[in-house]
Amino acid sequence: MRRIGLLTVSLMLLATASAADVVVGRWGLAGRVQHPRTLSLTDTEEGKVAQFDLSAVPAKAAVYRARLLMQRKGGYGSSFEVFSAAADGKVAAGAKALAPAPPYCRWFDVTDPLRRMRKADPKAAAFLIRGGGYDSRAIELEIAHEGALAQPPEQVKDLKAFCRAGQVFLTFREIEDLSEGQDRYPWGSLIKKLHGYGPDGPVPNDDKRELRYRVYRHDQPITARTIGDAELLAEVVPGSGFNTRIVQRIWQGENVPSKLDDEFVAVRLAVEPQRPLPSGVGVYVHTVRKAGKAWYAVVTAVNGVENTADLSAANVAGPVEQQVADPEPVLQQETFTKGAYNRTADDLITRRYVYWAVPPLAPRPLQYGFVMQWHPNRIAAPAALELSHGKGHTNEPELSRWQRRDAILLAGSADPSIGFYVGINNCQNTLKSFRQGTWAPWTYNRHAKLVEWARKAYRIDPQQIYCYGSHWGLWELRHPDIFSVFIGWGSGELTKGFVDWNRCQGVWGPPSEYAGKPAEENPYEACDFWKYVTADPARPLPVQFLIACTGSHTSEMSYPALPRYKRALMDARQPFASDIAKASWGTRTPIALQEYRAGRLKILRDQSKPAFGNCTLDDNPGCGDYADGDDYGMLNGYLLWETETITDEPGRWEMTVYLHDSAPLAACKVDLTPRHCQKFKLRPGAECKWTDTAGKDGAVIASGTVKADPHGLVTLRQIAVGKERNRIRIEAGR
Amino acid sequence: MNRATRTWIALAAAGVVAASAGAAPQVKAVKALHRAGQTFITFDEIGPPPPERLTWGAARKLLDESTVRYRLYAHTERITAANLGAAAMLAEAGPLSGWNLKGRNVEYLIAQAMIHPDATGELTQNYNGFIRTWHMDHPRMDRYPLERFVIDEQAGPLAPGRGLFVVNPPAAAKRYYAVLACPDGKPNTADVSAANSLAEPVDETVGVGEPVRQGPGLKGPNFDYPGERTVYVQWCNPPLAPTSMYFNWSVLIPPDCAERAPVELYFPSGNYSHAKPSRKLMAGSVQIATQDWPPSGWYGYNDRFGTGQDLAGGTVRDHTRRRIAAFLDWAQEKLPIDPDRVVAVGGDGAAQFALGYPKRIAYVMILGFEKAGNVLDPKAARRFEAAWGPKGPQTTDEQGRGDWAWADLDRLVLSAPEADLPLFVCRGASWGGDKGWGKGRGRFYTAMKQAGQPLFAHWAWGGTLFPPDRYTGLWQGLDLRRDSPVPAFANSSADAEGEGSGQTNSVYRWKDVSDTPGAFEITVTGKAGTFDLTPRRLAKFRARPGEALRWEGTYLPGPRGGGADPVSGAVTADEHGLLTLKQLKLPGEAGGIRVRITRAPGGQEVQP
Repeated sequence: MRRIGLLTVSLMLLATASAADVVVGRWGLAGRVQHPRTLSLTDTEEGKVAQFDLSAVPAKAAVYRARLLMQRKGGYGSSFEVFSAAADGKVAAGAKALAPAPPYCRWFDVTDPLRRMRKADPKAAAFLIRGGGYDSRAIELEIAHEGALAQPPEQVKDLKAFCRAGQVFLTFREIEDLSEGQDRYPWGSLIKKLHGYGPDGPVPNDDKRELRYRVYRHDQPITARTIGDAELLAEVVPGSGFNTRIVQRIWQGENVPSKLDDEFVAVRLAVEPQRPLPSGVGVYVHTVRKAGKAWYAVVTAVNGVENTADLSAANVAGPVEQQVADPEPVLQQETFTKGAYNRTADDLITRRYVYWAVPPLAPRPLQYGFVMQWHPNRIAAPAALELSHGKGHTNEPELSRWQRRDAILLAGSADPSIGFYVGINNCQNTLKSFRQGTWAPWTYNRHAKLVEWARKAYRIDPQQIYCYGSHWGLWELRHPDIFSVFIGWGSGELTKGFVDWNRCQGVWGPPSEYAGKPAEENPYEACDFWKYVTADPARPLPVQFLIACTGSHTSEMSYPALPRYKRALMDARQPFASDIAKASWGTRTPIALQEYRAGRLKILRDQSKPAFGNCTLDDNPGCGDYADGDDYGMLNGYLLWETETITDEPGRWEMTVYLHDSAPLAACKVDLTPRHCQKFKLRPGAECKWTDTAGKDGAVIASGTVKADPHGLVTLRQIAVGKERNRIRIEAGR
Repeated sequence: MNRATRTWIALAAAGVVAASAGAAPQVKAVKALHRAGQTFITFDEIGPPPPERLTWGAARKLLDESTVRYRLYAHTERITAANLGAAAMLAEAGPLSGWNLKGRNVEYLIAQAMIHPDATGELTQNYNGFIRTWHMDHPRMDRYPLERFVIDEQAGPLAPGRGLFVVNPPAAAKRYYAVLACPDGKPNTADVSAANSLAEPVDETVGVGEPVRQGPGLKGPNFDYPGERTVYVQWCNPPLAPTSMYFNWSVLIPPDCAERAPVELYFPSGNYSHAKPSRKLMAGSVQIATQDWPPSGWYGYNDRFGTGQDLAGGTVRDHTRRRIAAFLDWAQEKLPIDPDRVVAVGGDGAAQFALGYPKRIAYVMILGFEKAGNVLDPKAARRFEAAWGPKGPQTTDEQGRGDWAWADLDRLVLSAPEADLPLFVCRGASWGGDKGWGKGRGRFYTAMKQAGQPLFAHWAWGGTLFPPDRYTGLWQGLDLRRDSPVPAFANSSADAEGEGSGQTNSVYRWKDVSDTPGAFEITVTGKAGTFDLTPRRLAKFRARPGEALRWEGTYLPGPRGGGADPVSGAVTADEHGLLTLKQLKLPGEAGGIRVRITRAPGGQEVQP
């Protein structure tokens, strides 16, 4: 009898709870809050105390979720910390600051602190904010609590979900269609309805109301009863189906900002290959972290008030069978361009992909475009793969300056605000400051993953993956296991040119922000490639072809860094050839790069290469002062080697090296160090014999002995190399 | 600056001699060395000797604070307290005269900053122009580590605390010298002994002296031109300087240097110095560079300079040009150089020297005329006033020219049209260029063409330099020597002005020059059009003023085999014996024109 009574009470309680809605409301000063004038701000010695009057929340109502919403003010140089406080604003000794909720870090999850506060006083909540850099008038507390939901907004429809390659793709029909039912909608009309746009998507115009779509995930079916316990994954803005990273601009001149092309048809994302989303359909892509079944729901939120009541098959999907896997890009569009003048060799296939990436492949969940492109009648099989940074002045893939016409191009895209094609501080677009954020090579991580994907999706020769780094980014040098060649400007230090330096501080913050952080989290250390090269000469690096744009640009980027970096390469006996470009005219291209571009110099990743240095035909890049040294010229500019006749055996190394016919003299003297030897390995101090055999008659013109240095490297100093070709032979002593 | 250095400065500035407290301090250990018409008198300064390593900052502080002076006396007899009044007081110097204070240079600061900037991002200041703000008296120069003079290569640098006077005796004779300390500005005339007065006379000769090798010059960092750079110091007295002065030089000898290598005589611009020339054009050349400090506009100084007298009314003389010529004279004897192939390289200085000493120069490579800070820049007027005196008619040079006319490069050209100037190969806008974006035609270029002098200039997009071939040393395939005939072009229809096209005469090349007593011949190639041609630097074919001569032109086949009918005419030499063929035509279908100038029937040769 007693057990029946308990059961009855329990059922009654359950019935009571199930009858209640999940109500989401906001408390704050004014604006888009349901409970205005419920926030009081008090400045204390400890900081600013934000006290909320929560009288409107029923005393015994369950709190499902609470978010403290804040907005940064100004840049990322100022830090603030939020602590849960007692009603009087006091913070317990030793209390830890709340962390912004990952992965977006745009709010603080204060669910547990609020529940604790309500135990003491259900009508009050308080937080202490130390530091600055936030807008105190924009502080809001959003609470999802048990209650009666009145006037829920119109609900989304047609939710579809599927999982592919570790990602769940959710599409849904928005309650407002920005493109008015037109699949081909001009950008000029779209932008008028927005506050702006960015890499994260459209920036909505919230003047009339704040419309958002909230995405929930649960390991149980999501209903009005369970949504309170579901995980809020994200807030999606209206127009999420548009790919706002691709816009078209009209060039107006060098010193005039380019204009957006209003006639350009706004690009829509595709979650199925080459099937752009239709008008009025929004999208969210969730990267799975745990395998298993999951249910997803998308609900409308207007000014924070969610429609948590209308949950049906129209806006709930599941169960979705989820697998954890490396995400794969989605083909957006493939185009074929017939070669100019009907020259079939110049036919071009272009595939545009979108890749939804999350940390550590991106600073925050974000979609990135990239392009695969090739000339179908030119590429070899397997083909070389070029990872291209482009010129580095845009977030999007750049298709200029393709280095090898027989290679497949993978043109990646930068992280927003362009962190030198390596990485930014992930504080950007969050509540964190530079100091609170983390720097990591997000961009490189993502590109490395895409290279890995491309190797599976295309027929790529893993020995011939190279990078065109343009001016910014040298991180690929750290991965000779992937890249055989790196082509770029060679800006080893980013702190010496005013454009670089300004950007460094913009995307990373000043160096002082990284004081006390590990070197691998300090971009000023990690991206100092002069240090990287100098620290360990034994470290294998890809062959580097360092060639800058016309000289007028080297002055503003980082000329002082260029000679120093090249000197470091030479001293470390790393394989490279370089131009010197200070004058607007007369940029030279090292012959080895010309031959490499033409496919005549085949540089394989796991093949020995010569590191040349101190060639008597070298020009002079100077000390780093732009006024010092030659205006234009080359280092190792005329030197070549045969890749087919290399001998790389235990105890013996041979290579044929020579000067190109265009060299100004018939012969030169140069230092030569065998690098990337696969089998010719020397212990430090090992003695070797060497010969320099010249010409077709095979006459030994020089010979001698040489000892391996402490790194096991052996360098022949100032040997003669000529146009008639020289066979260099090194034999380890017994 | 450490504490020990600060203490030393305080004591040295006051002339405190610890060992002789109470007695009036006096110099000691006076010695003399005579070489090539120059006498070096060294002595121990009073006070504690400076540390072995001394920065310019410490030296500057001492010089600012010290009241100590030293005076040099000369006499035909041994100098004693009794006959001091009859001795000639030759010079007065402050402390640290044994240190090469003028050896400091911004190139050193830049080199250091390239390796270790004071702060991360420092070099980016002022749009990467931060290093251009440094100069000889910039506070950053305080860190410069000074060197001590070498007056005798075998002996090495003078010891710290040794003072130095260098004089050029006016006549060959035996002279005695004495040095007196003036701790408070007054000489200690009572204490004249063997310590500060030579017991034996110096057997002196007359001469301008010889530069003395000081030691290795600045190299690098990172990359530099191959070879060994050495610093020399040239001590000068009138007429090479208004008073006793010294100047630093650097000499770079390339690897495997020829016995008679061409010379790149380098004239630094802006705040740069002799220490490390920014450019070297030929691999096999010997590069020679000097400083112009205090600035003389690469010309010279008022003869009252350094005397404390008012410069107004004084006479400006071309000391700087003369001392450079003197250095070349010495270099011709002591360095592996070919005096016929001296190329003046640089900016305004190169032009100034070539205009003053055209016969010394094979040709001129102007890397860029000074855009600011030159004699036309009102903001730089104080610098030139300090050397020459106020601008106006009251201060003249030896030729009686006022208003700083000696520094107006265009007026120098126009004032002597008869002078055979070397070919000027110029990059960038003209000296005294026109106002307006991208414009480069200006006073100097206009004057050169007006005077029928050889000019080749390019200023489009900042200008392209047409240097000699790095390895052969030939300029456009020509072995240009100081006695090589060169054509001066003018009034070319191919001349252009503007940001993207500005140039004059740079479209022309020439070859197969023949200069005989009876004829001058030359082949000119280049862009189609018309031009005036004035042969210059002719050694054998000379014309009398007013002489009538004949010329003929035959056209070379063009790339498609085309040509044109021969042309001919008469030409009359001007009042200087110069010949100018007006508006020669180079048709587009022709590959060039072969011009031959001969005497008219009955004309007689002119002996050079």
